[in-house]
Amino acid sequence: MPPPPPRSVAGIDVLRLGFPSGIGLGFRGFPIPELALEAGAETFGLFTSLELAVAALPIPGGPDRKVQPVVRVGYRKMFVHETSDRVVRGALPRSAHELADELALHGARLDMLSISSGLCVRFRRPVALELSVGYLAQVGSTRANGGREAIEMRSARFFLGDIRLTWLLHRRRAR
Amino acid sequence: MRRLVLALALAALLACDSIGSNLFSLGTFERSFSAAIDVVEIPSFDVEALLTPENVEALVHALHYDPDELRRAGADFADLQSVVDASVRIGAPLAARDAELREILSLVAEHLASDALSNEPKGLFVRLEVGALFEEPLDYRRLEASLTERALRTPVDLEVIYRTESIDTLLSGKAEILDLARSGWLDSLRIVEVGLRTLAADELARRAEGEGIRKLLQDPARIQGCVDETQRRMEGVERLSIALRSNAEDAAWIEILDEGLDSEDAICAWMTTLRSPELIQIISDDQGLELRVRVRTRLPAEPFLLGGYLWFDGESVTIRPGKF
Repeated sequence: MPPPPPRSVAGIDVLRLGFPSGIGLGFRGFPIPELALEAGAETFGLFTSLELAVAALPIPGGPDRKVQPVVRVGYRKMFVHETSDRVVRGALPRSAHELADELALHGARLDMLSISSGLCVRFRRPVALELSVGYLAQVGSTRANGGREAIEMRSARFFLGDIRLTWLLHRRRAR
Repeated sequence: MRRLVLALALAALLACDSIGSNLFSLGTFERSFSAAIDVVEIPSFDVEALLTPENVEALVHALHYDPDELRRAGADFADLQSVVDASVRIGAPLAARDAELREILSLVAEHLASDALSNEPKGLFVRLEVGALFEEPLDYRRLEASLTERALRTPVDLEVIYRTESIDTLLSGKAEILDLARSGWLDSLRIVEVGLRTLAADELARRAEGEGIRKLLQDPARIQGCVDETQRRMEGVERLSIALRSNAEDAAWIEILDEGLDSEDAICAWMTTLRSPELIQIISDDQGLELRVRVRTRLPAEPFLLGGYLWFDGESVTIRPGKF
């Protein structure tokens, strides 16, 4: 009887590429094959984000199955860059130029909740490629730069799309 | 089963108005800003200004006395008590005309206060209702002293109205708020705090030198507990109300604050939450506004200055890609 295939217990996202997160790295552990606990960091012109997430790979076999659906919920802390201010300023009407000058959110930290789903494809080598789409919504509000008159931001919402290339680490079963 | 779960999840997402109707947005932005309530003088009851020789002569004239006859009976119009005594000597004591005398004194006091404190070109209108001071019969044995004593213990109503022809005056330096309101980007506006306080000695000096003190009025250190020892205490305040309205015809007053007080402390700051679409309308219309401050208080022994501020929270519409 051939030995059972090795079971993946963790993975390193050597590439995370997505919108609006940008490019980054991550890690996922599989306490059971159908569940992944994930952490990662991504950055982009608008902001840098740190993510903690739980992903379900519902079909038995987890990440080692050839094609596996993925459903993920996560929390992201997003650190706003100055570029974001420029984008928001660009959205303001010309008449509000003075406000645009004062609009400064860089340094603000946004709390976001995300939900996404997609497909994960396991290759012959211990590599998996995942494509997912989802939704990202700000919880609470944030303000930055300057006391009581600071601008406060809330209710930011985005669609998100992610491509992840994961190097799977596995443990051989004892014979 | 799986389809049912998916359908329920989707329905929940779409039912949530903030998410379902606007799935993509850069967010909603909120900013606080303040507007100053200009400094106004709270007058003392100045019996000397009220009872000048000219005023006393006009007073007895209004009561149909002959001033010359009173003079011949020993009246000196610089000394009210001598006039009282002279009226007794001529057989027509002022005490017998007490009700009329009180009414006239009340009118004169209100007129004098209004004249002295109002500044029409600057849109400042002050009205002092001192009727309460003259509700009870006067003590004609010591008229002047009894008037002063009564003034120091009886609350009166002071009404101050600031009228601006343009909202810009109130929101000076906040042009962007006006722009946002007029371009439809201001979704809501609410007043979250009202402050009213007496001025400290250094502020009085700055004001005397012509320096603007709008920013100082909002200094938290001067507001929290009114801790500055050089601040005059505004004692005996029984009621305070603040309201504003558009200058447009028949505009209704929007009440910002109406609070009964039972405090001997100096006036400090109050929190309030007034969310009103009328506020945006007032700003957008730009027909100017009237801000009314009413204080029911005892008059101080010496006049002092009162200033304040309003804090607004303005919220933008949600910024979506379509706005670019």
